[in-house]
Amino acid sequence: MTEKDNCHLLSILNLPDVPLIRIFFFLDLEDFVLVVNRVCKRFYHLIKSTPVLWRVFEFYWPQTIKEEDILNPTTSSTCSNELQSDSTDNIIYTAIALPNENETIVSRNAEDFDTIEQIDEVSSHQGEEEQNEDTIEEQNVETSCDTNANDETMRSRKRKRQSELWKQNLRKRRRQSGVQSNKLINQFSEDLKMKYELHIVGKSNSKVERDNDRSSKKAVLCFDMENGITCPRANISNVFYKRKLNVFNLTGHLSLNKCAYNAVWSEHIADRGANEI
Amino acid sequence: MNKIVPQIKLETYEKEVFEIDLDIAKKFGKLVPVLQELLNDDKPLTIKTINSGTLKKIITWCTYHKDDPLPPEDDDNKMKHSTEEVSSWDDKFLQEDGQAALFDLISAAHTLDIDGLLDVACKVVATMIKGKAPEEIRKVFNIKNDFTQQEEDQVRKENDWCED
Repeated sequence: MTEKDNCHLLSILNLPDVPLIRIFFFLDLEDFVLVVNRVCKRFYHLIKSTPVLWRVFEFYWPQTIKEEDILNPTTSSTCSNELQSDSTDNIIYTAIALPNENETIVSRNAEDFDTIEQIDEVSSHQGEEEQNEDTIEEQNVETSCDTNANDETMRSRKRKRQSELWKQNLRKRRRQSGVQSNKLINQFSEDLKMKYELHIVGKSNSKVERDNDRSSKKAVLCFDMENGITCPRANISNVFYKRKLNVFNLTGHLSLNKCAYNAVWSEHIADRGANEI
Repeated sequence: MNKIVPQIKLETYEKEVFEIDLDIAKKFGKLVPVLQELLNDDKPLTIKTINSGTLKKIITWCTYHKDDPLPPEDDDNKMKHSTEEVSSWDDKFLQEDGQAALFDLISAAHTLDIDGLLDVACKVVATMIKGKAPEEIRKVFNIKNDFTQQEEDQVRKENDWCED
């Protein structure tokens, strides 16, 4: 009898499940998902039904993209030109948003005004001013250099006056909002005080109840269902966007024997409905 | 004067009896709880699922590795230990008798719970699989493709997420 005749296992398929899983365990994710999975039905079902094989994931972050690019695209050095141009536009936009500039009044946020009407008012004023400026400009072409200089000084004075008015309004608004916020703080502090007192009463009541439960011989079962844990847990790569397997966790505590019980199951076994639990 | 080494007797299904030193027998996880009984008993323990050739190879492997440190208990170190390379002696020893003997050895190591041997043998098979296409694996291990074309497409579609 030769050595070969002694062997009664002629194929890898005759191996029990445990050694087969161990073999697959030494393979990379790509090897067992893309290759071994497609070899035969037994391998496919074994891989699919063995969670231990899916527990180790290695993700390789592409070298061309830095993590900071994704976290903070506007400040990174490797942003696209489009992003950069957008960000610089924003910077220019915020830089020109000064009160004495004509263009910025229209684009100002609504919260800078006391009422909506004021925005319309300012806009209409601005429209008039623009029209006035246009007419002034038209006249400027025809008039002499002296009148041009006069107009310039007039316009600068007008702008100065407008900016002063703007600043006054702003100070007034701030004063008003300060008063309102003080009122709100007082109101909130009373509410919070009340809530705190109620909380303390509730706490002492629950402590009394807890002590009663501990001393009594009645069985008290406390249980809590944890949020579904998605599996595999990965924040990067394409896996992040794929449908994941939910894993549920129910833990209970029985007061009589002071034992905690825990059940973990995945959604392929059952969902987390009351009847299913 | 020679020191008498305690030995245990194992019998294969071919009725061949092997005498193994206690140090080596300790590597057989399945036998550890009954070692004392086996030492006291003169009757050999019959292992019906293992043939003589395989048991002989197991004893050779255990004798060669008898001074190896025990595998770590905690998971992290176990994982680190598991990913270590297979030594050239192990690679040669496990592959010299062909695939069928290797699978027989894996099965026996699993039955007798010899962790080290099972680990090394599985690594050797894993290296045979690595980097091959499904068709090549079927050819190497003599596996018949039992998927229909439709099922194959379905499996490919399921694992699409890993391809990009």
